[in-house]
Amino acid sequence: MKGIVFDIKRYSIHDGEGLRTTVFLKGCPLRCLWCHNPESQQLEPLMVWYENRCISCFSCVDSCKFNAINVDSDKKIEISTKLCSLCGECVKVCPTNAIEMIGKEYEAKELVSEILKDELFFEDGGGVTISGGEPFVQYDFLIEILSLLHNEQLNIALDTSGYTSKDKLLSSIEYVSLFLYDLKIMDSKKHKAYTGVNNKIILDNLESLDKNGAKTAVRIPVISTINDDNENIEKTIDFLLKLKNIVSVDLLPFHNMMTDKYKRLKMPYLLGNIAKPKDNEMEKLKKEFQLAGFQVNIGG
Amino acid sequence: MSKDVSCKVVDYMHTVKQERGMNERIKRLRKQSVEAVESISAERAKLLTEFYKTTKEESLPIKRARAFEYILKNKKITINEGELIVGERGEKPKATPTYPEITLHSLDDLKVLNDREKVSYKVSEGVFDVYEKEIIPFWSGKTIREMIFKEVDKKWVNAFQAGVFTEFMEQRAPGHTVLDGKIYKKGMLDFIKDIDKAINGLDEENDRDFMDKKEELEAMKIAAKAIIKFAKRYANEAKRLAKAEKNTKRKQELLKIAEICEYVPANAPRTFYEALQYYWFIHLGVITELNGWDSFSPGKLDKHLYPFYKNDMEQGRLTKDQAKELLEALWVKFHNHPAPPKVGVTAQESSTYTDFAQINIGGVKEDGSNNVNELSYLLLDVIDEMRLVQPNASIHLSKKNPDKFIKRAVDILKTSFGQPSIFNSDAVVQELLRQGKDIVDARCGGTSGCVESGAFGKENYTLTGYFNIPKVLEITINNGKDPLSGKQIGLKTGEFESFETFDEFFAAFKKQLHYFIDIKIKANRIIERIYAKNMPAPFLSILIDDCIKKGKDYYNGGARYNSSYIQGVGTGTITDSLAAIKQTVFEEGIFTKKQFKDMLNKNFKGFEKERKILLNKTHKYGNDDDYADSIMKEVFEEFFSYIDGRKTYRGGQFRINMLPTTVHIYFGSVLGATADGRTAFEPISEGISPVQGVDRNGPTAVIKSASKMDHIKTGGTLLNMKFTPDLLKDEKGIDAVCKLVRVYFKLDGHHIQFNVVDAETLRDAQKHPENYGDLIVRVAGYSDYFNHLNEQLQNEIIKRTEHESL
Repeated sequence: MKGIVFDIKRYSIHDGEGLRTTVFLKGCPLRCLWCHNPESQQLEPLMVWYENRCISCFSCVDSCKFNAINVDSDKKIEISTKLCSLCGECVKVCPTNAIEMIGKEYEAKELVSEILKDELFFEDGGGVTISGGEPFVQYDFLIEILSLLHNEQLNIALDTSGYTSKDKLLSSIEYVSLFLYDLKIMDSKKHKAYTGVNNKIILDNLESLDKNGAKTAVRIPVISTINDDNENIEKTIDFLLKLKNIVSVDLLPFHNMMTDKYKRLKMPYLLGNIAKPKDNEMEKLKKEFQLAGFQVNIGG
Repeated sequence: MSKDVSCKVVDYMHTVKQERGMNERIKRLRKQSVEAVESISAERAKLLTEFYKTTKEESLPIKRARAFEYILKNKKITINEGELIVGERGEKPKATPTYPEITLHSLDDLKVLNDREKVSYKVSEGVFDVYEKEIIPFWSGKTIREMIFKEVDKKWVNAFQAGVFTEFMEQRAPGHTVLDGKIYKKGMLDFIKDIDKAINGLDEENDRDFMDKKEELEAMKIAAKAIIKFAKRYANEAKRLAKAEKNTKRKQELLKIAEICEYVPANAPRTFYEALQYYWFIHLGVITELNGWDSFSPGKLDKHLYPFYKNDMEQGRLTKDQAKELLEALWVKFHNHPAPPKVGVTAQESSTYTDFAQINIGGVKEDGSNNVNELSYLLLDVIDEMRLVQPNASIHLSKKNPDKFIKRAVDILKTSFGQPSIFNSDAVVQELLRQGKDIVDARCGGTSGCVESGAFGKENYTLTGYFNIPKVLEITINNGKDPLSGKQIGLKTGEFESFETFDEFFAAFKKQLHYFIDIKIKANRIIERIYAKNMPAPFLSILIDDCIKKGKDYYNGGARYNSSYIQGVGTGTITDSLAAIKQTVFEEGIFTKKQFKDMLNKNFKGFEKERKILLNKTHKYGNDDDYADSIMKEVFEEFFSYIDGRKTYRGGQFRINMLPTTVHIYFGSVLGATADGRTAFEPISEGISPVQGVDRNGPTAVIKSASKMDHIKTGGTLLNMKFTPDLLKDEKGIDAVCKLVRVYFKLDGHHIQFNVVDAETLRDAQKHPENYGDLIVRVAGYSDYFNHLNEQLQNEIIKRTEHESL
């Protein structure tokens, strides 16, 4: 079957062991205010226009059969989501790739053969990482590619927010060597406020995974003033200490290099100005988790 | 979620305006070398001229040997303060001699050398004066360069002037020579015995070459004795200095130097120290005799020196620190010797002081087993500590070498100093075997210069010049005309508009390619003959098997193996250009042929949108995209099969390799707009790397694309990959790079090199060169001081870096 992929990144070295190819599936039920890939949230493909690349040749306007592309007085391009049929003609004719469609349809087999291009690099623990968005949004497609990749004897890591049904999550265990499991905020109210969803399912699912023996690397985006407070860290550690199959805790320092993505996507960026955590702050957190007995990586 | 996690870290500390070296002595010597100004020394030219004016010698080899002897007997002996390894080619560090018998610099040339902004050599009034009064009047009309230009035909001159190819031998003698282990087993006195044996074995009655052989062998003997006497002059100077020396420690050192110079190179070395000093005398001898390309190289230093190192340690007469100090002292000696001055096209194709003496570390031994030993790591420590552009150190990585070895090398690379470069030892062996070499000779081989494979101590492998493949496409599009000069320099293979299919057009391109290759090969046979007949090198001939056994000079087929290389340049540009024509003109019909040609001829003026289409919407090499990569393969195979195996004058074969040094800048400067969207006169792609900035699928895709070329058919390729430091900052990053290298080598990739810098650092260096005197970047097959590069090269490196840091 077909699924929607918004990026394939070869030579990934921070999404699991060894050299990996990371596949990003589109669609996510969470709306984290710090989301680094806001273009991944919506399941359907998304049209974006890069002003800095545009040479105002308006080939796109001429190519559009649906009159979905407008030029304003500043020569800015507007693509009407209502009129646009996602046919991709404008993308094809744009000489500078100033218009992009984020999200490409792949047949599962086609995606697997794309991944296999780097098969030779996957030896010694490397492999493929399926990420998102939230991969479980495209559950059927996910299971199909997991099983195909598994047949190819590839090492598979699955990067998930954990926000899915327990059954679906557990059904992936047989294929996956390592789960990369995001843990954001322990306080459920705060979690809901910052991500749009309740964290109960997420925490319960992590416990279920653990009970079923799934090896998991827990990933914590460290966002100053939001989840780096003592209380949250302590609660996180307490929770993790109950689990048996946590192979590492990866602390991912938040950065705001993606803010122009929000502008481009015309999405509001509501997080405000939050600085990247300082190295010493990251080291301090690392120590705390180490003291609790975890293997800790900064930056995954 | 983690797509953007590995983002760039900007707080990268570049390098190293600091004194380096393991102790005060080395720091002082290194500083003296780094700060010394490159200058022209007229000493050699003057002595040579004196000799030639007075000699009555008729035999050419003997005359050359006597000239060598005369220079060594009369040149200034220089022992710099605190030195442990002694011997300078000029009167002082970086004083660089000229070779008027090969190329005679005019007063204008000297002025250019003195005044040019990059890679200049100070020329004193005295040098101008000697040149005007003695050197120029005597050598005018007698040089190899003039002979070459007189004997090659008009077609060659046209193609040369248009920039279709360059010619290495018009200013420098054939070189790229590397030593094997023979000097560590035999002294010059032993070689003299070998020569006598060869003379006695000559068949006067039946061998019609008897007299030629005898003269050549006698010449070798004279040269061997000359180098022994030269060393004795150093011994005497050391003794003289010792007498006057008040510091007792230094006095002892000078007496030790005297003792060593008495013993080697006359005899085989007994200790680590003697072995190093012996090599250095040999090195000086070779680079004084002639100005052969790429200086001279000791080859597998860890292999050759290890028995001495081990034995000295066991005997308690050497510590690890002492060994390191001696190696660092040798490093300074290499650095004291810039490349001989180059002018004109030669200066553009090799725009650097670096003379490419390459030191090979690791690889395999004669029996094919792992050659990495304790000394290999010590040499890597020396490279790390010294951070000098010369010598050009490389590691040779075999599947049999441990990961620890490559990790240590990558760990040094991340300091942004560009060394060591990394070669595939197993591929080099295969390449040499394919050429028909013996398995042991192949395993004892390695690389020299930039990336060139050879059988060390047994091969004359000459690089003959770079070949501008994209230029041939331009000429094809214009029906044999060079659009820049308007001259008809190629065949009339048809107007571009007349081709019905891409295959027809591709066939025309191949025809033009053959035509220019034929022109180059024909001239190279002539040039080889000129050297063979006019410029014997008896000293070098002692060192390379089987010159003594055959009684033949190195330049006249004396070596066991003889190869002449043509270096293909512009893999990325030619591939992307042909792919763009195929796709946009012949398949998708986006452009008519007439319009396409028009756009190129107008350098895309008024066609900016169309140029962007070519840049952004066509298939590009370096993305693991078979559409482009299959064209790369086809061009490569054509270039290979039309050259490989053809006979040279010396009785060897023509071969190919794919490297550019700095010629891609020059080749771009003589090339109009190209079909890949490149505007006129911009650099073309270097080595087998993708066109700057078009590889968009990351390093694994580049490696996949590059390895679709059959490297084993070459004698070396160059793939450049730039990394910003953040990609190497942790263990994971280093492991990943090691993995990249291992996979590339598994796919028979010949060589990969990494530039670890960020664009900001480089831009700042361009603005404030004074703060970055020590900043070294990898250019192409070698590293250089960033400040020594011209603005265009600097910009190119910045552009590449930016691309990588996105």
